[in-house]
Amino acid sequence: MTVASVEQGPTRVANGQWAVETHGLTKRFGENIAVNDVELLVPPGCAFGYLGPNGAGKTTLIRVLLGLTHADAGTMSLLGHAVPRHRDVALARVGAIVDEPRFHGHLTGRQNLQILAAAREPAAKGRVAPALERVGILHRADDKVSKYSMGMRQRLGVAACLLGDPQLLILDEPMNGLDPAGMLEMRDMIKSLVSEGRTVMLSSHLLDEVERTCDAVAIVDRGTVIRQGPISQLLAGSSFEVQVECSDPDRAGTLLAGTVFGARVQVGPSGLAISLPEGTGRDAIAEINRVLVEGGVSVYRLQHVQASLEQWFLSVTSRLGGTQ
Amino acid sequence: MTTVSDIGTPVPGPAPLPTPAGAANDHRGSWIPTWGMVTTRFMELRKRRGLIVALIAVNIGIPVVFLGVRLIAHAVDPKSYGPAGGYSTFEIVVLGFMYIFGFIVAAVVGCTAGSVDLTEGMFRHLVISGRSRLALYLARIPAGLAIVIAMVAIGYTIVCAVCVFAAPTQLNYDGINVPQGLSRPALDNWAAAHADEVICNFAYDGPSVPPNVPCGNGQSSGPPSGATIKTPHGTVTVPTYTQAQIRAFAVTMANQDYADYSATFLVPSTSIMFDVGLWIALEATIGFIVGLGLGSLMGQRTVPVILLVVLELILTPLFSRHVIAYMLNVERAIVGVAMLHIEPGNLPTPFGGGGPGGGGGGLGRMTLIPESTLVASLVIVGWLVFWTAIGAWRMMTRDA
Repeated sequence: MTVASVEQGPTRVANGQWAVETHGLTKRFGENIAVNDVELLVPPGCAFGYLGPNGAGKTTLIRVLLGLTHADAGTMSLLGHAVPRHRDVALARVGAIVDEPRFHGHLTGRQNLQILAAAREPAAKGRVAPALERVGILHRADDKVSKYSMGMRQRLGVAACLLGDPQLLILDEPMNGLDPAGMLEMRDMIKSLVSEGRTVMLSSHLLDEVERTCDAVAIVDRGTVIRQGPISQLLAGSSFEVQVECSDPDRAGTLLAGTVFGARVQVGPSGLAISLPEGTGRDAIAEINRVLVEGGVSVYRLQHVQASLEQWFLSVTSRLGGTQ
Repeated sequence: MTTVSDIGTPVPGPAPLPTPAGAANDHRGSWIPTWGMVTTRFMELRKRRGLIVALIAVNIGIPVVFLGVRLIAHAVDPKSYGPAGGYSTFEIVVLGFMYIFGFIVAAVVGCTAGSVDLTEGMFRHLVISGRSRLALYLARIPAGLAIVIAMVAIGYTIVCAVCVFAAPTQLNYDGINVPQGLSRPALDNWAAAHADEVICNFAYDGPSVPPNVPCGNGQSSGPPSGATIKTPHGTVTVPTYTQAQIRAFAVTMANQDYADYSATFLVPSTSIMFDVGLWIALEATIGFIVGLGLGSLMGQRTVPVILLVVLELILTPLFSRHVIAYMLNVERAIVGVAMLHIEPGNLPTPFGGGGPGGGGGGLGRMTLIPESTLVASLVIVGWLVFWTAIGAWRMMTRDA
């Protein structure tokens, strides 16, 4: 039996409703603003990355959303239920890991989950074994947690999330402590959870993992969400590079320097690397080709190279840092 | 300043999962804990090996060892070692040990239950479940008490059984065997018939000089006839007593000691055992509840345990017997002092310090600071309610 196939009932999240929605959410620690006027919209049924450098306020936002600490200002809702007013109803369908998952070390993994299941609906008790099986630690379920590795505790944390058969999973740095194989399994698990119709919101500073796992992201820096949306949409408007292989790279560089693209041209032994600024359209590639051909340079290859999420993230966050 | 990009509509994806049956109406916002929460909390505490060993050792182990040694010693050499049980043994074990250390161990269990979820990182998981934090707190009370009271009950039952079934057949009062349960005239008759033993052993407080009778081993009960001695009442010459006068003096002494004699039994009565059982269970309950609240308030175990040990072993004995006029009401508000005021029967006081009539050890009958039973009862209820409220409030407001 899988966790997803436990029971059936009426749909809670209506079409078009955000899995997570915040408006003006703010959390201060004295003078330090950890979460600053955050407007966040997480679509249902996708993997959503909450991406930011260390200290950006990712964990604090998650703690506020889950009612682990109170917000100083703003409104928020989970699965369409306003929190903290309807916190009990909202969290009934939410599973979460915050920070490093820790458990009673003197109890087994199964016993720890039994304690957590008892705090949920009666059916949660029946999900303990399936959840352990799903995260791959059923064979160690009756070992004491004190003997678990960090990766196993991480898996146990995910199993704890699954006890409530959640519609929304909020995972704080879920790849922490996992070896490469574990990261691959975690990525597959997240994808499988999404394929079942669940929403997975994960925070991370591992851009590569987020790019591989998530459909949409929000970029947070110094407590503020600076960009959010589907990854493909965000990257579509970002700067990109055109690599050109041609007969005379030096002459090509001189020709392109006179254009108005605002491009940064690097000349190499076999060609050019042309960085085009954010917002440049695909017509610019055709224009590059025209300028070179009309200038008597033979073009052997033109390749459009899309910036990675990492490059885009660094350009966005470093620009923010430069203005502050 | 950067701006948030156009977010657009939610990303199309699979249809959201349906809500499982039962999730919508499981009343997880209710403050009443579920049976499952209580039983799993019980399991969590029961699996703490060190804690349970300490509980068993104090409530069961040490009394069993103490009584076991007495049983063996009496079986091996009954002339040198008296019976293992009896009323005095009951007083020593229950009042001198189980009452005081039962409180401390119960407090340790309470402090543990009140703080370990936080220190071991489980509190966050529990809060995320959406379950009422008050319910999470209240679930610990029946779970912890089930362990503490069960241990107290088992240990106490063993002590009572030994005290009843291995009791002496004759009452040993002031060092001599006296029939139990005599009325005042019957004790008078018995004293007249055993005048020398009574005069040699019973306590006497009066102006007359006791007759000089042989007490064995070349000892006598007082100065010889005709001797002149100084007493608190002046210088007197020891008279010469006739046998009738010696018997009359023994009867006077027996009359004087009758109240103390009548409160001394071969075995504790059923009603005394029942009342004392409830009393030490209440003491353990207070230890647990206060420990739970203090542990929850401070978010740790060590400091609350130290504070409660200080309360039980230092503050309570100090404030229960010494009236400090300007803080008398503060003394009355200490729960240990209030508990001494509702001690059942005419038992010695656990912190009596071996005063007159005490059963030995740290026991003794002493004068407590003045406090009515009603006030003492209100103090006890107040402590239980206050610490439960404080612990629950801290749990409900704490950042997880």
